[in-house]
Amino acid sequence: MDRISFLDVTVAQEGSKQGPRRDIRLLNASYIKEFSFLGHGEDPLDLKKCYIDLNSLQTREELALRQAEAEAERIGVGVTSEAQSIFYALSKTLPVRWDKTVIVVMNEVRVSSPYVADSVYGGTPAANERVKKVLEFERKRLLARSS
Amino acid sequence: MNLQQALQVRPSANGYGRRRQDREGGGGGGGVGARTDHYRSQSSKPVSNKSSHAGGLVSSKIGGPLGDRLLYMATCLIGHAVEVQVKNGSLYTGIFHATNAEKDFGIVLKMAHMSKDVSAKGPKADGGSHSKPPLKTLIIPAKELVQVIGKDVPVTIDGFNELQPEKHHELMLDSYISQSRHADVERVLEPWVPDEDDPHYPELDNIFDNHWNRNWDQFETNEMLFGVKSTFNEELYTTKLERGPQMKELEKEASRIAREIEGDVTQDLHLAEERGLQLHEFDVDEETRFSSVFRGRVSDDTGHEEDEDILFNSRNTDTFGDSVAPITAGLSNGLISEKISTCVPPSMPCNMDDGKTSTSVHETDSHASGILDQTRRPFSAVSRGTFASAITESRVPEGSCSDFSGDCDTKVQIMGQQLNAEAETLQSGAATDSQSSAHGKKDASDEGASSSGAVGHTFLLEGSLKVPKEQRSTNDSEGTTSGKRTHAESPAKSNQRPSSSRSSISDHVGATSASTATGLTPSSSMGSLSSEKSTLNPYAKEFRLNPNAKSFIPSQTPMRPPSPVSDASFYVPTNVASVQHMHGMPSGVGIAPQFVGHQPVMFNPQFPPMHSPQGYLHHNAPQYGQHMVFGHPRQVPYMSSYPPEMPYKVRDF
Repeated sequence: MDRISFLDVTVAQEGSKQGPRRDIRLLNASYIKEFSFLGHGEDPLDLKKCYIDLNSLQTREELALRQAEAEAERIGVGVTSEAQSIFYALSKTLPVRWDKTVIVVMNEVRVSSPYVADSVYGGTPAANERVKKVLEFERKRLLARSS
Repeated sequence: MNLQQALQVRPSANGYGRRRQDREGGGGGGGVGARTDHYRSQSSKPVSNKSSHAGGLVSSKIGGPLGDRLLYMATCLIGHAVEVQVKNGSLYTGIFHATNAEKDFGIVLKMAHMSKDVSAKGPKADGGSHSKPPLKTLIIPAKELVQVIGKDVPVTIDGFNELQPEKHHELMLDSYISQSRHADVERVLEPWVPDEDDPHYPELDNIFDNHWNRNWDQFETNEMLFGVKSTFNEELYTTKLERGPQMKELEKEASRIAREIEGDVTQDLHLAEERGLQLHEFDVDEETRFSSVFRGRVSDDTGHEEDEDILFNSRNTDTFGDSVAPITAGLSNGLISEKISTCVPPSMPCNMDDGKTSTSVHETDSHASGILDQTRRPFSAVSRGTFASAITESRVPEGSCSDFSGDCDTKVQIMGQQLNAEAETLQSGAATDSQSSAHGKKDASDEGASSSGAVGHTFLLEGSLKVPKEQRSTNDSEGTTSGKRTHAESPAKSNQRPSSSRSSISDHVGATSASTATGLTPSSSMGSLSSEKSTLNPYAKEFRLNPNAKSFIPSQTPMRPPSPVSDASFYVPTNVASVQHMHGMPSGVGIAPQFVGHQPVMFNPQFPPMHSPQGYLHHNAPQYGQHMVFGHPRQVPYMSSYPPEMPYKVRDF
């Protein structure tokens, strides 16, 4: 922590990295139980020369939001974590999406709980077969990894 | 600082301080607002106390409840993923959206989810937190807030504007993708290190060096390992090698030719690459080195080419004297024997005998008809029945292969025809053809077994057969100079040639009559002779100067120079009357307040209608020249005084 300013909130900058990117920690001053003075650090921030590009910030935020939303889509609501890992594994090679708690693969094959080879329904026989195979393989892999 | 101050004050009997301290002691709790005020007031106190404290600060720069510094930091965080710890210890992760900087520091997160739930019974795996959909918006009031952690936040330091638009776009897709898999973490990758560098398999390092002498039969191995019976029949893909009585001779010849070709010095990057030579050209990038895309003649090669040609020429004469026997049977000029098995058309009857291989691959393009005579010689020689195959490896892509086979049926043209049409570029597609022809490389070793087959069938590819009538593209730029290459012409391009050259592809080394072969080499470079490398397109229409052609004059008369307005002193364009004479004065000048930037459509009825061209003149600098139209207000006062002094020439539009 090389910079501290106290206010309502403390801004602490962890100097672990150099360069334009830092780890920033904002601490609520009221939660600081105690602190001791170690030394006078150099103020890396020259307040006179700080510039902020609001536009880029906005863009960044929008992008982040988009990504977060896309990521959120991939998460099944109310599914077990095992199911979720299966979903992730399948999504590596097949287009998958959630339909409540059913994994829908390639928009035609459905895999419902408990997400085993037997719970694969629908789709053309070829697609079905493929999903079964991939599912089994991924399960084996998960097992191997967790063991 | 405030905090420090408070602490400092503690020991003092200062009630004020104590009070503050009490507040501090109160912990989070309420009274946030009051505290804020408190701090604010504190901060406005003289700095003296603070100076001794670390962290210099904000004190003098506090703009509000939140110092500038804080504000700045907070702003830097916008859009960034942060972790927020709240009073009860839980951790929320989300995208920092806003902070309530006016009052306390409450924050708003978007797409947040709880990454650590302290209230849960027992440890909860991170994956579990994902079972709920993220919260679109999460507001964390200041009193709940313990800390906000942002990692890798771009912060401008010292005025360097590193806060550049981060190229977060889809370029980051890979890393983004890999992050999203964090629920599926696989084993940590470690770099491979060989175990004690065991030298057990030294031959693996140069396994490709003598790939024809490897003593390893892939089919046998396959059968042994997997019980797969191979149905590979070499003869399905290449011409049958006829091992006849002349085998030995042909073989010898073939290897000689191969050595000759391979040992040849070449300036061509590609050939050098193939032969393993190190051409030390420093400014070639990867594309130049390895691509088969033709990008224009490399300058060195040009020179070389000529030399080579000349050399060949002389060799030709030496070898063959001056007799020229017309050669009809399919002899190709530029020979490229391609080891393209697929290209070997089974039907190349006439070729067989005449298969002529150029031991060296020549640059076909360069060669002018002058050589014709000489080139014929080899054919005759060849027609003796021996043929050398120029074994060349060409880079012809598959497509051209088929082309060649198609062409095989065409009769081989006597060299004579070739030549001129240098201009045509071989390329089917980008100069690949040229490459193909270009880089014919005789690789006798490649023939390996086949070379033993000697005769085999050699198919000669016509390189730069430039039949004048035909559209042949030669690759001038092949420029491989010493590399004697013949260019295979893309049959596709040349298919209409009635007299087209036969492309023969020799994929086996056929022994050629030694001398002829040698002799052939030079001659085969079809044109090696004359250094005519014309790049003319024989079909192009001849250019004739038309003396009556009108020179182009733009429709607009050139902008009237503001010359009449030489006097820089007058700004005002004019008043109405005078304006009439103005050329190109934009309308802005009118009496009525007009915007200056307006189109030069005359608003003033007195103005003669402007010619349209003028209408489009920019009414900016050029026209104004020295007279600038500043805007109507200015114009007005001068208006009246103008007319008599109008220095402008009267112009009639």
